[in-house]
Amino acid sequence: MLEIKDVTKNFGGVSAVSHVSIKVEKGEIRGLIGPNGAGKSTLFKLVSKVLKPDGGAISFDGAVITGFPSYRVARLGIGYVFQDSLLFGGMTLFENMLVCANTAVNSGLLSLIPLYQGKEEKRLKERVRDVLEQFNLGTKAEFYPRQLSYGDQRRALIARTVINGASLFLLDEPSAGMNAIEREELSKDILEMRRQGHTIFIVEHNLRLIMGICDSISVLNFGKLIHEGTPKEVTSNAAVIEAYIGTKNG
Amino acid sequence: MIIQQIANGLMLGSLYALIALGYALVLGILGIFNMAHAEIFMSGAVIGWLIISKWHLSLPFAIPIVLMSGAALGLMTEFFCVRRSVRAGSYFVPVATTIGFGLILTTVVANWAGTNPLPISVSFQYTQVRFGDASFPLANIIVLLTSFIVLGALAYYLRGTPFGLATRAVGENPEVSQLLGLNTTRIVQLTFAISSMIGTLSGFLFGIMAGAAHPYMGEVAGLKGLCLVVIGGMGSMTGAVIAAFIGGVAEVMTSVYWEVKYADGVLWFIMFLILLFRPLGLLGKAEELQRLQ
Amino acid sequence: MIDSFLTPLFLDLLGINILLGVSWYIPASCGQFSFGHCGLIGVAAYLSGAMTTLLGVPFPLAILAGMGISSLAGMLFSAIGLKSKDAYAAIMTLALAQIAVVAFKAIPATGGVMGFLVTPKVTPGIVWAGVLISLLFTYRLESSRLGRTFEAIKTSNKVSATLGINATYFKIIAFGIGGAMAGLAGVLYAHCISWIEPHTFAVWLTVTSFTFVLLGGWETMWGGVAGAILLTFLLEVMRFASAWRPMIYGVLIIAVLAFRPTGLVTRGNVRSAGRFFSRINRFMLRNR
Repeated sequence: MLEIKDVTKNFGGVSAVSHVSIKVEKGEIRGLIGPNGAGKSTLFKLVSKVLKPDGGAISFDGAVITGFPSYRVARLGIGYVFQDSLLFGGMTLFENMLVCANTAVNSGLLSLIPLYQGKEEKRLKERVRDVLEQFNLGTKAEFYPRQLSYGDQRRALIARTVINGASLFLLDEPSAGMNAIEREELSKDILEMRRQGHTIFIVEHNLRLIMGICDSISVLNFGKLIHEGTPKEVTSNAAVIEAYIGTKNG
Repeated sequence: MIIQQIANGLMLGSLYALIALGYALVLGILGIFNMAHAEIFMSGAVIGWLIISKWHLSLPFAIPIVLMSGAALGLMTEFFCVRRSVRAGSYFVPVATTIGFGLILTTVVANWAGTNPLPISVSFQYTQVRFGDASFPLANIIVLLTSFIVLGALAYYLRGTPFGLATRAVGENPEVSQLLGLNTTRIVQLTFAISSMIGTLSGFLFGIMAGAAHPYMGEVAGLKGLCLVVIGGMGSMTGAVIAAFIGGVAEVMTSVYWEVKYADGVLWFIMFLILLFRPLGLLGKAEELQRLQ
Repeated sequence: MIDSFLTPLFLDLLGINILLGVSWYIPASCGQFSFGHCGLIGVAAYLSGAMTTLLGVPFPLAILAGMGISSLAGMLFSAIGLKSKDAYAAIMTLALAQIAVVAFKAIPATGGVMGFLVTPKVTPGIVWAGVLISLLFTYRLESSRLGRTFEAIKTSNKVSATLGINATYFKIIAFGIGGAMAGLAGVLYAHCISWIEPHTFAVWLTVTSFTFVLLGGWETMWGGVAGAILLTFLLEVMRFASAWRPMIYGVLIIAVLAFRPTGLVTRGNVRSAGRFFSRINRFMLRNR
């Protein structure tokens, strides 16, 4: 579903991502791990087009997306939830979910005409309610982001991307800052998303989380892909172990 | 003849370069537009009037006074307008507060010294220097030389001294700089002081060149400086200087060979065109723009 | 003193100031600062003045023309500026304003630097009709999907992009709407003060517009309204100190933004007010 071919990104003289090729199959949960600075976040930014690659090509569902601006990629179905993502503080949780480019419900000037959207608007609101239920946030729909727990906020971000109609999810360290219970909730949510047919590509430092839910894992170090395989294979691979133990962050 | 005009343009450009540098310094280090810079420029000219026409001091005394008042104004701007909002992470509030500070300066000067031009006359006001067929007012040549000295000094400061290096570090990444033990507040203050010293100095020089100071002169010249910084490219001081020289020549050419009344608009028109075809400005870097989001 | 508050001129200016505030607020509501607002205002003023006085065009048509040209100018200049990110869009509008002033000075038909007299004079009725229509429109905008999209963009360009929102497109729309409103303000202003010259539309008008919004509160449209009302009354009361007006504005900007960075009227205030009114409403319906 997502094909990253020989992609490179340089910053000044440093190669953050160097000739990386990864293929993510539809419906799988793929992990991306590696020591700090290995280029994981950069790779995600390249796929979601926040950054432009210096070399290589990226295609999604068969279509090449290398030249696209980030909002277009989002509309095609790539949902990028990054570490500094935030919910819009001035709106309730429910309103946050309504903000999206769901093209069936127009956001342009025509939306100013009352009743124009009628049925579409209703359908969207139904969908929002369903997804919030799925993520166990239904009772908190009228809360403001600052009233939600940290774990709830991070999961709400993922929920918002689901409502936006994403089919491929790029989750950059979604469990950062969560406690063990919240992490369990997160795992359950991700597995449920996979059950609904979505594809998930996830960067994580918490190895237990990754090993628990991923079908396969890609490992980066110094911008290069050093290994790919099932969780079991990866944990016993020599190069991977060396990459982790050989760095100060172990 | 045309060479004379080009030379005139370059002299005007050197003045613009000083003004533009004042903006570029603060913009490059903090990502803020110091909209009070125009009025600080004007203050420099008014101080020149005070020193020369009212107190009748000789020039060697004038320069330190001009520089010190510049530093004072810069520190005031930093304290009142910038410190709190930058710490809060806001990038547009400083624009508004510096505009406010500028308004205060303008009104104070206008109410105290009147809205008529304040004459400044120096002994060498009308001296002309000849180069072959062309002749230039001595005042303009002094401005040109001073500009180069200041530019050189600033370049040396930023590249060669530890303070300069620290300033550039803070500009790149304030959080990391703090973690490395740099006192970011002091550095910001220093940068504002330097920027405003350059501002008052250029105002002072302009006052000598034009023979008068005026409470509203900052508006026009100052905004043009801003325009030049944009043409030169965000975050690039060299770009601002180059743009300034080009702009000076363009303005002189427009007023001589076309019509004087269009000269004020020429720079903005150039900026319009440049942003159309090269959105980053002449030497702008894409990463700099990211920061201003 | 109350009499001076009820003169037609004061009522006109109050209404126009409210329009200035709200028209500046609209691009600001999606994070875009219009520093060339005076240019948008001036262009409409000059066009309308020229159309009615020099060409004899009926006033309503001139109003529409003024709004149209300001809207287009706003969209054009912001579009060009946005190619290179938001900070430049603000400066581009500044360029517009500067070029506009130069143009005004250069056109002999409208009196060049001296300016000219504009004929049909507005009544407070016309001004406030315009104000009310604009307020209604903006209110509808704020509570619609479009308004929510604006707010999302104001909060974060990047996050909005990940939700598929094309920020540039919406900012241009905002400038179109804000520009049209600024145009309306410009036309009404020209026909209120009757003598317009290039200097009238210098940077000061932009400063007043954003002072209303930044002081009054830039989170909601009511901030601009509150700021406009407050400052218009304040300055009328302090008429004796009119020479110090810019400084008063300057001090207010610095002081208010230092202690209450969101301005006086916050989103919380508006929501509380909304709840208060709905409670009164329910109370009154219950006691029918």
